[in-house]
Amino acid sequence: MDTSSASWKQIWFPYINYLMYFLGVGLISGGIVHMPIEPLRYSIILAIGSAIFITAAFLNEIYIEKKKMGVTQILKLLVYSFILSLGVGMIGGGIQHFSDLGRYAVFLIPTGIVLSFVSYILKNGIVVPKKQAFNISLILVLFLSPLTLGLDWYVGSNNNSASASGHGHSDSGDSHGDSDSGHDDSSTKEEDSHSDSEDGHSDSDSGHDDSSTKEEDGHSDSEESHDDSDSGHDDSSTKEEDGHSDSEDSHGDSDSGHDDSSTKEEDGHSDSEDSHGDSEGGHDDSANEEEAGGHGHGGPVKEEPPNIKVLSAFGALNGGFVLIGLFLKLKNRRKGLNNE
Amino acid sequence: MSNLATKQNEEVETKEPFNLLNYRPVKAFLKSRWYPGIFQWIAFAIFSVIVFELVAGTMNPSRNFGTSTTWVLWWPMIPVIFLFLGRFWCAICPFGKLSDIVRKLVGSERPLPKFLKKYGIWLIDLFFILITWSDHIFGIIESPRGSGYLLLILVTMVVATSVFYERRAFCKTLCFLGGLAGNYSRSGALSLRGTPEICRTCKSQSCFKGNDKVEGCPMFVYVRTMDSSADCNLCANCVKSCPNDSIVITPRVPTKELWFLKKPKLEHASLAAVIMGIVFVQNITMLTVWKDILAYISKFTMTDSYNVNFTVAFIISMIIPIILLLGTAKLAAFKGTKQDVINNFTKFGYAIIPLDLAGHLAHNFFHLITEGKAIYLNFFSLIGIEMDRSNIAFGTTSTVQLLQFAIIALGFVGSAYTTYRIGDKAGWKKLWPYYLLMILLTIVNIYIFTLPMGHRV
Repeated sequence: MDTSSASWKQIWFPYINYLMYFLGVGLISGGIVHMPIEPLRYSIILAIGSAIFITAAFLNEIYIEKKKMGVTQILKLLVYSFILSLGVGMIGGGIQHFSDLGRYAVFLIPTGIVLSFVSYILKNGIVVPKKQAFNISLILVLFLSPLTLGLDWYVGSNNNSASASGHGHSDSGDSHGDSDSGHDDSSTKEEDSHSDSEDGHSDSDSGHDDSSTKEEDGHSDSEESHDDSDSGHDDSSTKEEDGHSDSEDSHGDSDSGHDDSSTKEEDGHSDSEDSHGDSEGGHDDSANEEEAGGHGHGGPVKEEPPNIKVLSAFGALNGGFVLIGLFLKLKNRRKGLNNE
Repeated sequence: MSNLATKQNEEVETKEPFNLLNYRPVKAFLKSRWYPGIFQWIAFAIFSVIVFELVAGTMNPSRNFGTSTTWVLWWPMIPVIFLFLGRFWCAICPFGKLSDIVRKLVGSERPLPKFLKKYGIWLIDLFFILITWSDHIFGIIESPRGSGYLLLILVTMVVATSVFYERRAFCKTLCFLGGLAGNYSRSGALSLRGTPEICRTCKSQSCFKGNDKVEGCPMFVYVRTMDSSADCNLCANCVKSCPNDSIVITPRVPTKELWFLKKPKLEHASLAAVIMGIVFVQNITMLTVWKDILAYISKFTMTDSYNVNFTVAFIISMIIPIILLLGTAKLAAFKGTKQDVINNFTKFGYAIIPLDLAGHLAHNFFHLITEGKAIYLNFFSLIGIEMDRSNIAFGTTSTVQLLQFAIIALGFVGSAYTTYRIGDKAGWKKLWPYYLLMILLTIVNIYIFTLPMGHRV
């Protein structure tokens, strides 16, 4: 065994495996707890985390522990590992975001404990006799019931402060969460709207209507101008004039599929992370779409009836082939009859 | 090469394959006349609506059900299907069904001409390149009529080949998707094979020839000697016709087939490299830097003609991965893989396939996620229900990026591991040129996905 191979087997591989274990759990816990904020994004993170964790579990059992397993055993291992990781993730995520996710965390933590406990037993093939199983279940119920009720009571009594404080992060996804989970976070937005582009980005994606906030701010933001399709506003000009069109507004438009790239270039609020997405989203709004005929395809679409000439040509060509086929088939049949 | 084959045989012998056909409901369904018929007819019905909408519906691609279903749903989903189910799509493809119908009614069932047998795969590669090129030249995707006529051209090709030739001659030798389908299905997670011990003693050959009730393999594959999923449609004709229950359908690790290629072919390896180039060019044309690239090319071509400059860019994009792979093969041959350049090129070209697949998926998931709602909005519009169109995205572009990076990372792992296996688990010293190529292609892919991209509908 040369030195590079030895260091791979003894150090690098176990380290990477270890890293994958905990990275997987971290991503899973993040994915679960942030799920209501932006379901698709965090489902992907959850899926990636699960894949990493399951791979780590698999590598650990097969290559580090060197266990010999059949297909069914491997499948069981993967399923139990996945459930275990979900459970651990639910506990971790629930604790971290207990203050701002309230009732969701009340659901996450006890469920996570049950899932992780059961899957841990199954994964490690621990045989539990019936009597012991009853005792364990009783302990779980006795522990989890007051825990759940207590947490629920705590969340209920602190409901207002928890919801008003919103989700603590300042990234894009977080304010989605507020809107998606139905929080009334208008106060937060009023405070944040001009402050930093990252915060602002989020509102838009959730697509919720925070027009009241914007009206108070006195912005003629693009969302408002889009709404009024009859007024025929030119978005770009509106935004050019609207010198302080804040990042919240501009991001909002982009996420809901609008094309506001000019705004973003000018208002200077867009952070580099978001600007990519914004310009990618390059859709015109629905009103424009009606008139101009679509998403970034240039000029207006001129409706035309079906081209009968072209279609007839195709019809004739295919009909011709079918006739040839018919002719050949009849010819072959006759040949066959003659041969007989 | 013989070492590889021996190792593969050893693996087969030591592990009992997990056979889906051991499950009675699965086996009963695959043996019944409902499979794949029920899926075929559903696909055929949807296809008919799509074609009608494309040639007679609105000219607005954003509002045309055919455009959104074809280019936002079907095209992105195709590689996903290949990855998980092999060429299952080909079993239910409307063109395949049309071929079956035409042959049944007016087909003269002549044997496939030698020319098509020999050069079919090159024709497939050529058609794929031609269609991708003409999409940009004629704006096929953005034009419902263009997409409709493309489908009608394919219909005509299907009808013409089915009138004259036996089985699915079009699918086997002309379908532009065939090369892509073959390469991606090699990486797929599902394989159909015969049980060697049973097939060895078989004299009926009904999997290939068919019997009174079922047609022989429509893709001209003889299960007994089949060692690749590239041409298997999973149509289950062989499952139905085999008198000895020899067929086994097993899930497998994606890319596994690529590790043990017995007869690697230059045309497949070339297509793998070309697809990488095409994915690049598909991405680049949707980027904001595209105009700058065209302007740069126009300095050399001395014309502002989009068609000319695009064609030059297209050719360069396809050639670059081939040159890179050739250079890598040369370097590897020089560094002692004991194979000549062409052998290296052919063998290790297959290692690009996972990255191809990843690039294709990553690119198309952008469309699926950021324009996906157009599919059902246009469907509802078709039946007279108008819904809010202010947001046709399922997720934000940052979400898509996350997904794209994850997919590319997976593709890189697949390609790197495939390189390692194709290289007979040789060390870094021997295989580093290939790893370097994979890293380079991954970086380029990731860079491209960090740039802003345009939409299809």
